[in-house]
Amino acid sequence: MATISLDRVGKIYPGGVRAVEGVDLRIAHGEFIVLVGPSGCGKSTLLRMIAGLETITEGVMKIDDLVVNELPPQARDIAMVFQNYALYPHMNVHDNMAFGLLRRRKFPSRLQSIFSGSYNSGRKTERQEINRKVTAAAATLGIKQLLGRRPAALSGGQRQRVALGRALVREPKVFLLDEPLSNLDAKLRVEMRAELRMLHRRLGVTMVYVTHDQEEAMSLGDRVVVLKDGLVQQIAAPQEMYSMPANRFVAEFVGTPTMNMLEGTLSIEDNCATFAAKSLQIQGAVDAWKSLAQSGPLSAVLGIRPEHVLLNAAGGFAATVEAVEHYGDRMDVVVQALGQRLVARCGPDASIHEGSTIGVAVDLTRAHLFQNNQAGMRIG
Amino acid sequence: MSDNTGATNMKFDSVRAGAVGGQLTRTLSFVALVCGTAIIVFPLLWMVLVSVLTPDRAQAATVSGDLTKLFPNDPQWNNFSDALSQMGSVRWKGFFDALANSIVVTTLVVTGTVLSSSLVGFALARIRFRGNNALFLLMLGTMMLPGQVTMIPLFLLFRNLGWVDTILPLVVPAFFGSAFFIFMYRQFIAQVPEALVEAAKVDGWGWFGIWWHVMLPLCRPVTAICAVFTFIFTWNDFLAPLIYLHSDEQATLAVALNSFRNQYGGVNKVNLLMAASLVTMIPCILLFLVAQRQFIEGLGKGAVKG
Repeated sequence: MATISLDRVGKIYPGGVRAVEGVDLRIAHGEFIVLVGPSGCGKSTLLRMIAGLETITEGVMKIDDLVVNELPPQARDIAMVFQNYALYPHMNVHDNMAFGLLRRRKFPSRLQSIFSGSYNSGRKTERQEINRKVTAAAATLGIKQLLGRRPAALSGGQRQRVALGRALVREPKVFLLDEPLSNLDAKLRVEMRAELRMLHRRLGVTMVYVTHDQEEAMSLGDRVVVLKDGLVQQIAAPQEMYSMPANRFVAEFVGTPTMNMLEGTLSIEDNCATFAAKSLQIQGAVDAWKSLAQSGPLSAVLGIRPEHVLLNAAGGFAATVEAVEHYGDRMDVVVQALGQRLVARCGPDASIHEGSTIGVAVDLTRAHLFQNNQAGMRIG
Repeated sequence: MSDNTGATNMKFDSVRAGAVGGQLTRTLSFVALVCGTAIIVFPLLWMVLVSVLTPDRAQAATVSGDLTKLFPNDPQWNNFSDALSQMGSVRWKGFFDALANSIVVTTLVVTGTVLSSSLVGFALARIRFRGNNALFLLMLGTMMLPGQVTMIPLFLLFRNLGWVDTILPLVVPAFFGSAFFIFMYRQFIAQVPEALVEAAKVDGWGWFGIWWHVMLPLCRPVTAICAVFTFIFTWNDFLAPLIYLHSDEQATLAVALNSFRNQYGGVNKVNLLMAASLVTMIPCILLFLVAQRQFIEGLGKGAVKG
């Protein structure tokens, strides 16, 4: 187990392209951290910087209080699972897993053992020890029967397990995983997600995981780091990230279907908040917003999670149902009212039909308010 | 109906014409291949036939050009033992010395070329350092230099080092890589996913470990080409051993074959020369037969991947 600390860590490529900027992050012993963001946000670069595969051009990175900025990957005691698994095609599963252990032999001690005549016995013991570790790791991952096979003869899921096994067998301080599930089909991905989570609980080792899938990030991480254009947008536990997004980007990135965003103005009158998006007016008593819009209407963006848009509700506004998507356990309904489109989530039994007009209400107390600018920071 | 029939007939005609055209193309290809094969095989066949002729018949078939004498009516199988025993100045010793020298030189040259070329190719393909491309271009530039240009400077260099009449001038340069094979290895290694190198780094291996444990096994097709080409070239090489190896004890097989030539450059026992030549060719033919699959596969890969 190990702690990792990143202090103003950044990366500028030789051409001047900035991939990662000013990342401050403290990862605790045994924590499962997920780096998530859209393509090109710098999440993989950041992971590769932790691994030592990319140079760090700014800031200080420490693993267990040791500054690792200049240390090569070999000296960091980390293990990494690559997106395409990177299994050695000419080695069987056993040798793939044992490859990292062979290297751990210490040359001076081997030389001494040659002179002292204990080389052969030492080598035998070493080989037995490696076999024991490989077999144990293979048993943990349920791939014991595959040890003699080459990677080409394995399915995607099996390769993924071997890649995990290769990391596991070395008992490293830190596990780094770069989108390890992205090449698997949807069903297997969900299964492996649960297995990864259990594995982490069993090993209690520090893990840093990269994904572009927010659902995967939310389901796996103790904490989630959302990145955009190389900048950290928010670091929080999944539930906090969902209920208190730091800005408009995080709010829209996290959650499926995505959060409804209405641009408009907020005005407060007699403890009653009114949000006007074009001609659509949404009203409610929100104590938290009292201090806002004191000096007149405030331009803002209102964010409403689909589950907080109430359908067939009284006291709201009338809207036309544009589309209904059935998922068996729930329904997503797209409604339109006065030029504004909203997505609502409701139970599977609701009697809602496309083309009909229904009453829609919004629970403003659970809505989010963001600045109406580029940064889109949360204001309420 | 008649239109349909006409159309069908036209279709059949075109199919028939296509079939005839295809057959003609196949026949022409076959004839061309047979001719090509005959051109390639004839010298070998000539050599095999002459190697079992009597001295008189061989002289008539070769020097006098009487091709009717080429077919042996009384094959002289003892030509082979006679040829090998008469190689060099001392009976049998010349052949075994030359054989041992050829084996040692070829083994060392093949090992050296494979190891050094793959190592340099790996470095040029995978290690980012200042001047990488310039070095690669410079190395490619050396391929444009004809061997004759460097022959005399190299001889002077090796003479000053006191290496003349040792195998060192033949063997040592092989451990500094061959531009052509470095190019092949570089192009092949550049196609290997970077993630494999990174995985090996994370597994704790340095550049040498990655080259030895990951890259060399993956480069097997290129290594097969490199080894076979180098083997054939070195085994058959006449010029370099002739320049650097002066004593009979140091001669390789290709140089030892020269003992069948008389002082005026002519050949007295052409049948024995052909018999000895045939024996020296056997390892090359065997090697090609054994490594044929890998070799052709490697040539294909080399073609696709650079």
